[in-house]
Amino acid sequence: MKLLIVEDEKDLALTLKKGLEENSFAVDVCYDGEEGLFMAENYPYDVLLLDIMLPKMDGLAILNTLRKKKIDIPVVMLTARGEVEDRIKGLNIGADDYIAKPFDFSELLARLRSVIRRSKGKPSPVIVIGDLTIDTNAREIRRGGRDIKLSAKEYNMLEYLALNKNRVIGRTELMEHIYESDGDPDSNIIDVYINYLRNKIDKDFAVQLIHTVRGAGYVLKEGK
Amino acid sequence: MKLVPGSIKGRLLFWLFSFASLLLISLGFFLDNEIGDIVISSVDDLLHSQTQLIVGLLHEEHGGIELELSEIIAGEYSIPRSGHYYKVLINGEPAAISPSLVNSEFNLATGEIVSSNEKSREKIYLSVGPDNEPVRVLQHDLDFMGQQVSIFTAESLRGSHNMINRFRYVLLIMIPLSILTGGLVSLWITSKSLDPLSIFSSKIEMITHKTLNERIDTEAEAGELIGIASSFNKMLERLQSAFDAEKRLIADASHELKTPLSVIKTKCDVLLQKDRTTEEYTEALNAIRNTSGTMKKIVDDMLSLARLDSGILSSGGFQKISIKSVLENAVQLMEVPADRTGVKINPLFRDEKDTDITGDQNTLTEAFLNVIENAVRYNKSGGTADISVSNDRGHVTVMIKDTGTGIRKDDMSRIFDRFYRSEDSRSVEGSGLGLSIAKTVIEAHGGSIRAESDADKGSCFTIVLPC
Repeated sequence: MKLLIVEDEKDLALTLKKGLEENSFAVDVCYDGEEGLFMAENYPYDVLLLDIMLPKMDGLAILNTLRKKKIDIPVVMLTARGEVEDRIKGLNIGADDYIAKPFDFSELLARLRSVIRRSKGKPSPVIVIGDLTIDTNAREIRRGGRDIKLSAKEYNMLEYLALNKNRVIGRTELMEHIYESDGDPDSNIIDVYINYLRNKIDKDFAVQLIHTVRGAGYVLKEGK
Repeated sequence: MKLVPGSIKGRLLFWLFSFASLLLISLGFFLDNEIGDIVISSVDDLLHSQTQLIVGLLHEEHGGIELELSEIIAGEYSIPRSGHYYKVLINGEPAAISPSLVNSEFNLATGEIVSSNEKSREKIYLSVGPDNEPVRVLQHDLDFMGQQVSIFTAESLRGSHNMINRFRYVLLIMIPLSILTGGLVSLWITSKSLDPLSIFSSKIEMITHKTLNERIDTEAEAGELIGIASSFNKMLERLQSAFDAEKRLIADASHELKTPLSVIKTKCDVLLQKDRTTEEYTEALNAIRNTSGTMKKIVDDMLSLARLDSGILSSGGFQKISIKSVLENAVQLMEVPADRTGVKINPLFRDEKDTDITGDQNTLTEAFLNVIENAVRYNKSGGTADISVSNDRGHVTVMIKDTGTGIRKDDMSRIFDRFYRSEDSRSVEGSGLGLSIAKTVIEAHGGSIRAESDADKGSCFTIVLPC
């Protein structure tokens, strides 16, 4: 999952980035409102973590602009002011959730995940495709009663495919949601990871779940 | 117990009622008196005309006086004890007596004389008539053909008294009734005229700290209340701005404290997610220590301001202190941090004449320290901070001039606001309270502080203190 943090307190933003990356998020960070808006408008994030008090343009204005432009990326507001009216204002102009500083990191994680799941129309934290189950909270994969261990990148890819199951995902889209925007990974890397995933998930089973759609990308689904 | 009630309604009622009652009672007495006079004077008029009639009937006949009373003898004068009497004496001898008197010897002029007129030779008596009734008697003396003639006419007052009494009864009933009605009307008038006041007060009552933005529509109020309503609105205005300022201050304080707190908390949370290397722990702990240092500075500054706000600085505790020693202390405290950032502090004041001011050494040092710290922090490496002092007719002026980043025009008006930090300054460590502490301290000393700035060239803070 790819996430954008817009937070002017650098120390907090970088700590969040580190913590979220350790939880399989690809994280971009902006320290001011204008840059934050630009990034949110131009990159496909799965969720936006937005501070309210920001230099140049405040969080509420960013949110307002995004919603007016019909960009419906899930937004979690972050604020230290904790004023009820700020909270209501945020939710009214289209924030999906709200968390007050100082917060529990695990609570933030849970809320980010829940907002992402809801935005993909999958409110349950456990995604089931045939005999494959993915627990997005515990990041545990089981198939046919067997635990499967995945690396962070493999997991990120599988989770994204699972949240979009039955939909064909292009290589670029996969890349955009798994890697940070400023990196420049080789485009073959996606095929490499798909290969790793197939080895771990499909190889020992009769039914294949990861399908290649020629010229389009990959799709996670039961049956043909 | 107070005679006049305290409430406006009570007062209005009291005064309206008292005046109405007084007026009605006086009117009663006046009417009573007047009606008596009118009745009596009408009786007197009657007596006069009867007397004139009798005088007109006197005539000479056969060398003597003859009275031709046959014309008036008829009617009331012929009925015994009718209440209408006359008697004519010539030289003291009864010459004519109305049959109504019954007894020709009856003396009408027995009672007290109520008035007498020497010129017209008239006397009026209040006597008792033949029927034991009160009578008013007019005696008119005249000389006729050299003889002494006395004419007595009398009218019973029984009817008049009855009339007066009846009128009195009417007054005795009407006046208390009018007073009572007047009281009720006053009550109605007072409550009616005080209605706008109670409506006004209920409007005021509706305003709570949550609806401070509401105003009373002065146009809709009664004339007398417009003044109160507009003063009330002005007070609300002041209250609202004080409330808003307080709210903003609390929100800002909470933001300033919660931000570093969440850095610390998030660092701990993330760190504890899994096992880390010693380097990671050390790095995180250092970061946490720095952040808690920032928090300590904010808390210290907030407490300083709270102490200053509580009015701890009063001229009562001020002492004579030298301005140079205050500046010297502040510079000393700033030397190390200035070295670290590569900024040179130029204590130009050392060559100037010293001046004594009255004040509090510690807080003034803190105030100057904050301004100098500002000049160092928002400076560039190799920059300078010049501190000079001058003395001018009862004032000492301290100028702190830096070669730093300067202050933008939009920020200029707010740099002394609590927790205000311009967008450019956020990256620089600080609580956002330093300049407002300086301003509070300087103003408590009767002085003033102002700033001028050229963006990118630097700022100059001028502090003027009385000496």
